[in-house]
Amino acid sequence: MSTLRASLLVPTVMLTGLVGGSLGWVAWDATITMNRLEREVASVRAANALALRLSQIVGERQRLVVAYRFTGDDELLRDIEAMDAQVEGVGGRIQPATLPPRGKRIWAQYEGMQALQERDLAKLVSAVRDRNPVRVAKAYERWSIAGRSVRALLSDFTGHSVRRLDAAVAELEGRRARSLLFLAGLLGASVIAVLGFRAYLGRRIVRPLVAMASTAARIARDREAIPVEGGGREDEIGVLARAFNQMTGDLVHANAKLGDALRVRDEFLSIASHELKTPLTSLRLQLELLSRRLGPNGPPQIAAARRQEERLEALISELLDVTRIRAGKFALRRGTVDLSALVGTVVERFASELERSRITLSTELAPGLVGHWDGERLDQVVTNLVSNAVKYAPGSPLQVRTSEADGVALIEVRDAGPGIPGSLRSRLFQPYQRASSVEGVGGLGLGLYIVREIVVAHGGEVRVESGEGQGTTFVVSLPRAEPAT
Amino acid sequence: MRERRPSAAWVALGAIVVAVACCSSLSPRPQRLTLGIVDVPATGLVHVAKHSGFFQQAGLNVRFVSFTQEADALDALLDGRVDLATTFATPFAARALAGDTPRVLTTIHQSSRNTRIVVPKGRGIVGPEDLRGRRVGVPRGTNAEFFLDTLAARAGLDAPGDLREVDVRPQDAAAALRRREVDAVAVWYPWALCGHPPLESMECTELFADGYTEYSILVTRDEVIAARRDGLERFLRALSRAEALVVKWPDAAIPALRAELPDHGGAHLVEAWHRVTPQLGLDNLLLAVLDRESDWIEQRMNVPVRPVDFRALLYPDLLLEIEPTAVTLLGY
Repeated sequence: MSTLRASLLVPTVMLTGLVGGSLGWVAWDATITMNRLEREVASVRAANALALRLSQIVGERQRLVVAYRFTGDDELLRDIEAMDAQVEGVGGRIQPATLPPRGKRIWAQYEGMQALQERDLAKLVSAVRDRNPVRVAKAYERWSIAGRSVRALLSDFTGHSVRRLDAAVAELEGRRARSLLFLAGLLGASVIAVLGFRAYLGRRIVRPLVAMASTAARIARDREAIPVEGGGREDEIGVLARAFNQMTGDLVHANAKLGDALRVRDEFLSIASHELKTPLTSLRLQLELLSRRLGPNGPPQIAAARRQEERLEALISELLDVTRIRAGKFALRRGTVDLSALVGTVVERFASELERSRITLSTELAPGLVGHWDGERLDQVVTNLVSNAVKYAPGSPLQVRTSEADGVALIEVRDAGPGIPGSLRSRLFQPYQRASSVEGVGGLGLGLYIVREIVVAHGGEVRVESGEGQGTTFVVSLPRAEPAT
Repeated sequence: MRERRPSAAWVALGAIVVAVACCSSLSPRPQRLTLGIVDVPATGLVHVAKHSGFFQQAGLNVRFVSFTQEADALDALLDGRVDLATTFATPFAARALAGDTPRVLTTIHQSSRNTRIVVPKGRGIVGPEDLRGRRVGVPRGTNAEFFLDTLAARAGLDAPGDLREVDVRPQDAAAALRRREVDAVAVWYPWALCGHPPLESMECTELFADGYTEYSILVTRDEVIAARRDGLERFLRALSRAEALVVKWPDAAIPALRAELPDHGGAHLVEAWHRVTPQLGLDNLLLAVLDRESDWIEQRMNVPVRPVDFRALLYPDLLLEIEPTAVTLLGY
């Protein structure tokens, strides 16, 4: 498999090689050049020093020869010969093999001219010893001509050395300029390589991942199995894309099965509720008839049977409501409702149950809190909330109040019960959720779900404030105006 | 499908390619220069540069005007008939003493064995001393005359009448020897070659002068430097390329010389080429030679002349730019 890691390795190695190799080359080239120039400078210095020394000796020798020409002093001649030996000694230290071609040529010419001048000197000495002024003059002239050439060649040798030094410095400067240019080029090439690498990464990795994220969002929204791109690739992105597509297919399939199961359940509940409702109505009528015939002195089992029948009817009503909500058949019948009056009616209805549960009720109902709502459903909301308080907070005070703020009507039901655990609060308004820790409390766990659906259908919201041991407060907010459609 | 747009990098690359193509098509027209040249192997660097196409590659269109004697090429320069001339040190020194101010751009060659005395064997001359009282042909006003006097002086033949100098043109030297009008000739290579017509049946001895150094030089005028400095620089750059070529492969010059100097035959060109050191430069030895030749000319003319500062007649700026180590004169 051509893995992404392997394909990323190539440009990484190339970039590293480009930068590392180039810098290494610059360092190597600079070292070689510096070593060569150091040798060149050392050679030039040595040659220059010897040439200068030779110039001094040659100048001194010329002075001695001029003096000898007129005096014929043998001591001067010995000094001249000593000077010649010095010339030979110093000249012998020049190493022609280390010189460049032009330097070699100059040095060879110098040696030839030096030899000629020595021959001319011998002729001059002979003429001086013969005391022949004409020969002396001519010999001296020839010696002098050769001497001019010798000095000229020594000057050329020195001049050439100086130019070599200048050339070495110029080469060094040129090399530095070229190195800077090269490094600038390297920097540019590196930038281009990095940009190219970045584009490569974007094309090979980032773009497929972004496409996957986009596809995931579409799948979450549309609940459809949409394949992501890249499934045909052989690298890690391909593996990820294939796994993603597999997972999406499985999820959508599972979701479809779940939807089917829920639909079956809701249909069952709907049918069961309707089917139960008919015999239950008959049962309630017969119990009422029996209770009227026996009067207040009838057996207490009749009253107990009626309470169980009422409870059963409430449960079936909840189930019917839920099936309507889930089937999208839940509709409001709005009308003018005095919310405070409605709340007052509900809590009065709970008077005997509150008393049985030793709950002390206090109400604070704002007058004139009228709105365009479905009174029957809001009755159901308040009933469920108060009923919850009765079930979960017996023996504690209950506070019910209504108010208004910024065009929104508020219903607040506050108990001082054990509170709701944090783990339950997040799913409190979902269907079939019950506080299982409270024993002896029945129900299907649909009450708060129905509350929320009713409130939301009114364009409002319901929230809960609670903490363990701190009681529970449900706050329902309802817009007073009918929401625009 | 998303439409792909060309990236900025591709657009920039395209612009660069177009710009380079435009610039390359706008190459400047070749500059014209006229060169007066003495067609001898000693000036071989010029022929190598021409034959190798270095002038053309430098953007030059050089017209060559040939001369037999170096003094004629120099006169053509001073008359304005040519922009550049190759000449030798002796005529240059003579014109400078006469008040002319040609400018030396560079030397072209240096040699101590190019100019020589040619003596047919059997005429009793085996060394310089044997020239006493003999007729020696020499082209007047050339470096050969200076060479002859240098050789004669070293041989002790510097008294009036020691030598009988006869003026001959270089191209007539061999015929004069054959007709025995002269006993020897002082000429530069490749004139008067024994074994070649018209001396094909003769064997010869060659005599050289110790301490003699000759230079051929490239000269121009101030107004040419002012008006065509760029062209002169290109010319020198082409010569520098030729010099680098022959330093690396000395025999690379032979085909060029054979092609450019057909009148000189071919067999002796190799020897002629090996007698000279082709070399660009401006050096102290050249100044010493010019000083010495100007002294000699002054003695020959037997009248005092105004001293000439030959250093002021050198123009090293161009050569310093092209080949700095060739300028061994300091102070520039």
